[in-house]
Amino acid sequence: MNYGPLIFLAALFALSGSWLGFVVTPSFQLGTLQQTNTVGAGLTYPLARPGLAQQGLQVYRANGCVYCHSQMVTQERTLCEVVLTEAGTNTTALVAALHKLNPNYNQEALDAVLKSLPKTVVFNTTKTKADAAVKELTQTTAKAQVVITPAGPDIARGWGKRRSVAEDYLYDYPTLPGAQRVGPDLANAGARLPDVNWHLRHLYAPAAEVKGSTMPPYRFLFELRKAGLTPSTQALQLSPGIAPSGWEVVPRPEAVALATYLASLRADAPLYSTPLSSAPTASASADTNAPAGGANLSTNAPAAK
Amino acid sequence: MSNPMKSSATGENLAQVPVWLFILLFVLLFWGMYYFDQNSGWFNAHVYSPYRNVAELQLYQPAGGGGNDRGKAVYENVCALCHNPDGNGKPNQAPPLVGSEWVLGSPARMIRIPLAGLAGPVMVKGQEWNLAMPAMGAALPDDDLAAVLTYMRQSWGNKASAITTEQVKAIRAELGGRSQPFTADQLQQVP
Amino acid sequence: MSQKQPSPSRAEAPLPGGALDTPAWAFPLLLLLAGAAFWLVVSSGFSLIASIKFHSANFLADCAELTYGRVRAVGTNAFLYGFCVPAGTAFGLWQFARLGRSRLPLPGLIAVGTGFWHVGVATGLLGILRGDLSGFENLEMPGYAVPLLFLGIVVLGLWGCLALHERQQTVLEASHWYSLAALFWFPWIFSTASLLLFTFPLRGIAQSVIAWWYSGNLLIVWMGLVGLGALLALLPLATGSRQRHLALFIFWTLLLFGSWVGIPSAAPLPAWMPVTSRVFTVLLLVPACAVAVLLVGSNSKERDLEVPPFLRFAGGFFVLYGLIVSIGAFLHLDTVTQFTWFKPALEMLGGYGFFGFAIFGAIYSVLPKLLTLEWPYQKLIRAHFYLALAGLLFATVPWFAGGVVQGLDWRNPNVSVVEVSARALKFLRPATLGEFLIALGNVLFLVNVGAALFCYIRRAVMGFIARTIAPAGVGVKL
Repeated sequence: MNYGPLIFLAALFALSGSWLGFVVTPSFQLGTLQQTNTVGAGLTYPLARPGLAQQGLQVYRANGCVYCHSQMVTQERTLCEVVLTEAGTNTTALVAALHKLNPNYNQEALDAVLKSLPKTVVFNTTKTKADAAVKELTQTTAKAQVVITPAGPDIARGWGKRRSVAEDYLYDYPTLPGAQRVGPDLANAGARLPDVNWHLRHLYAPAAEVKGSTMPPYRFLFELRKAGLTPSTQALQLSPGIAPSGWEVVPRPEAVALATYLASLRADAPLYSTPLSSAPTASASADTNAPAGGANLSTNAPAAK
Repeated sequence: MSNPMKSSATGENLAQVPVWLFILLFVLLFWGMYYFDQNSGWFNAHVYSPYRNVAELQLYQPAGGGGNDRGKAVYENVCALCHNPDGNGKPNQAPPLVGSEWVLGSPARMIRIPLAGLAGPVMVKGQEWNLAMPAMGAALPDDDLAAVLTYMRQSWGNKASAITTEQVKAIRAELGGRSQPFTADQLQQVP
Repeated sequence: MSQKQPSPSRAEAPLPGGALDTPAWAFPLLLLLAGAAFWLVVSSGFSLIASIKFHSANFLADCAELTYGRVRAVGTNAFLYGFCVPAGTAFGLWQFARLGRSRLPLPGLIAVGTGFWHVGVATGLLGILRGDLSGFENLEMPGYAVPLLFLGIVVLGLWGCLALHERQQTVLEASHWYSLAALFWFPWIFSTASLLLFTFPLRGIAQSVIAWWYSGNLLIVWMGLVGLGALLALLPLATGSRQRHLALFIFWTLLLFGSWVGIPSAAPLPAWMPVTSRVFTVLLLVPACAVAVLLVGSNSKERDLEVPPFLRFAGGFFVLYGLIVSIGAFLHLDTVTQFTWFKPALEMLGGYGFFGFAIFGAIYSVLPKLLTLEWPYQKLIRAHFYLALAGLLFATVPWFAGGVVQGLDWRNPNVSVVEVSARALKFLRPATLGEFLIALGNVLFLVNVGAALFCYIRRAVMGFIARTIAPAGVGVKL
C-alpha cells in the first residue's frame, strides 16, 4: 500500500478546513470591510491617516515597536447606568419611583439628586434593567436616559473607551495589534497624548518625560546640531541636562512621522458593533449656561452694526 | 515488522487507543459545540465579545436622539472647511457663524443661503465680507439641511430657534430650483 | 565502494564500516544542518542582546540596527527560519532517504535547496536589521527574502518526494507520515501567508488573522509534526499496533485541532474567530494526553545508549505545553496571561523545549549514522543537554511566574504602567541568565556540528587524494 498520496490527502483535508475557516472566510468578511458610520453622529469612520502619520506607521513597524506596545483594547463587560436628566412635574411620583429603584435612598439623598441634575441614579446594571428603570422614571414625566459604558481592565486604565474592532485597522498596512505589553497599549495614544512635541521629547529621552520608564531612548531618530545664538525652530524644547550642552536636538523626518502617527492613534468612535454612549455630564449643564455668553455676543453684534 | 503494521492499518484495532481518550475527545467536542453556539454569534461580522449574539448586541444599542449629532456630522463634512469647525469662520474664506446676525436671525433668510448661495458684499458682525458662497446645501436632503442649520443656530454659544424639515421643504419649493445666488440686499427683503 | 576504502582516511578517523560508505545525499544534508546550527547560534546571540536591553535601556540604544525591536525579530526569525525549518526538513529528508536505495537521484537538489534557503535567511535577517521587518509576528522576514525561502523549501520538498518515490519499503511508519505531512504543511502555510500578506496584501485586520493563523500552524502543527515524528522514529517506544494506532490518533487530532489554534481571545475580530480558536485550543488536550500515553508506554528500561536524554524531555515538554495551553484556554486564564511574559515563556517551552530538544536529540543520534563517524566531542553533547535544560528552566519558570504577576498587575488599574514594568523586571533577571545558558549550549552544538563537518570534509578530501594519487604511487589498494 502506498501511503504517500493518502497522507497528502489527509493533510490537505485537515489544512483546507482551517484554511477555509481562518483564511478564506476572514478575507471575505474582513478583507472587504468598508468605511462605516459612527452611531449617533453618523460620521464616516475610519478616515485614512494623513500622509505623515502613514509614514510614521512604517517607522513604527521598522523599529519593532509592536513587540512592547499592543494596539488592541479589550473589553470584558458592558455596564449600564441610568441618568436622570429632568425631574418633570410630578415630583412625588418621581421620588417614589427613585426609592423603588434604590431603597437606600433616604429623603435627603433624594433631595440632593433632584437638585443636581443630571445625576446617575442607577449604577452598574444590565441594559434590560436600565431600560425598565428609564421606563418607570419617564412615566412620572421625568426624563432619564441609559448610559452604556464598556468596561474591563484596559478601559479602567484609560487605554480606550471601548474595545478595538476590525474597522479601527482598516487603512493600516501592516496591521500591528501586538501581542505583548511591556509598555502601555497605544490604541488611543493620540487621544491621551495629542501633543506631537511631547511624543518627540519622549522618543528622545523617555525617562525624562515618564519617571521610571524602561523604554529605550530612540536617539538615532534625532540629530545633534551645534546650537546657534537662537534655538532653531525645529529643535526640541528639552529640560536642561538632557541634550549635551552647546548642542540642540533636531528630529529627523522619521521621528516627526512617528510622533505624528502616535498622536494620530485614536480608536474610540461609537460603532454599531461596540455600543457606547456618553454620559450627559456636568459639562452638558455648563453648555446650557454658555448661551448666556453667546447671547451677549449675538446681541452685541447687531449693535456694532 | 511490516506485516503486523500492514494488517493493523485497516483500522480494525483502533480500539487499542485507550477508551478514555475517545471519551475525552467526545466530551470536549460536545463542550466545544455548545461553547461555540453560545458565544460565537454564528459568524456575524458585528458580534464581538463580550456580546454573544446579535440579539444581545441589538439590546445594547444606545437609544437615538442624544444631542444634534447629525447636524454636527453634516456641518463637519460640508461647512467646516470654510467656516471652521468652531464656527468662527476663516479670514478671506468665510465669515463667522458664531454670533452672526444672519445665523441667529430670521430662519427664512438663513435657509435661503445654503439653498441658492450668497454673493457680493455682506456685513457680518460689523465687518464687511465680499465673497461668494456656492449653493452648498442644494444637494442636501431637507432633514440634513434642517439639522445642520439647527446645529449652527444652537452651537458654540448660539441660541436661536431650531429649524424644522418643513421650513426647509417650504422654502426649497418656493425657490423652485433657483441657481442664481442671493445678494445680501435681496435677503434683507425676506421677512 | 566500501571495500576500496583507502587506509589513510582510516588512520584519520577510526570508524566502523567504510568511511566513504556515506550516500551522496549525506553531504548536502549536512550542509543544511550546519547552516541551521549556525543560525541557531546567531539567534541565541541576538535573543541574548534583546534580553540584556531590558536591564539597561541604553545598551546599544544609539544604533538603529540594534534597536530592541529589530534585534528581537532577528532572534525569533533566525530561530524559526534559520534553525527550526531547515533542521526539521533535514530530519524529514533523512527519514525518506533512509527508506530508499543507497543511491538516490539528484542529490544536488538538496544542495540547491539548501543554498536558496540559507541565502534567503541571510537576506531576510539583514533586511530585518535594516528595518525592513514585515511587522507580522513570526513572519518578520521582509517580502524580498520570501521568494528565496519559498524556492528553497520547494526544492527540498521535491527531493523529499523523489526520495519517497524511490523507496524500497512500501509501508510507511508513523514517523514517516508525520515528516511527510510536515513537508507539505510548511510550503502551504508559508505560501498562503506570504501571498496574502506581501504579494496581494489583504485589507485591514484580515492581515493579522492570516499572520495568527500562520503562526499557529507553524508553531503547533508543523513543529508538532516534525518533533513528534522525531520522537516516534527514535524513542524506544512500545512497538506494535498499539503505538501505531496512538500515533495515528495523535496525527489526526493534531492536524485537525492544531490548525485552528492561534487567534488570541482579545483579538479585534468578530467573536466567532477567537471563540473557534479557543475551542480548538481546548481540544489540543486530546493529542497532549495521547502523547503522554505514548511516552508512558515507551520502554524506559530498555535504554538505548544512542538516544540522548534530549528526546525524552522533548516529549515531556510537548505534554506540558499542551496541558498549559488547553487547560488555560478552558479556564479562560488567558484573560490574565495575555499580553504578558507568559507568551514568550510558552513559545520557548514549545519552540525550544519541545521542538528544539526533539531536533537536537534527532541530530545527535542520526548524524553519526548518516556520516559514519562519531561525534568529535562526545562530552559536549552532555554539556549541551544540561546547559539547555538549565537555561530553559531559568528562562521559562521566571517568565511564567512573571507573566502571571504582570497579568494580575495589568488587571489592576491602580498599579501604574511604570510599576508594572518595574515588577516584571525582577523576573527578567534570571531569564536573561537562562538565555545566556541556552546560548552557551547552542555554541557547543555548533562546535560539534562544525567539527563533524570538518571531519567529514577532511575524510572525503583524504579519500579523494588517496584514490587519485595512490594508484599512481605505490599500490595502497587493499
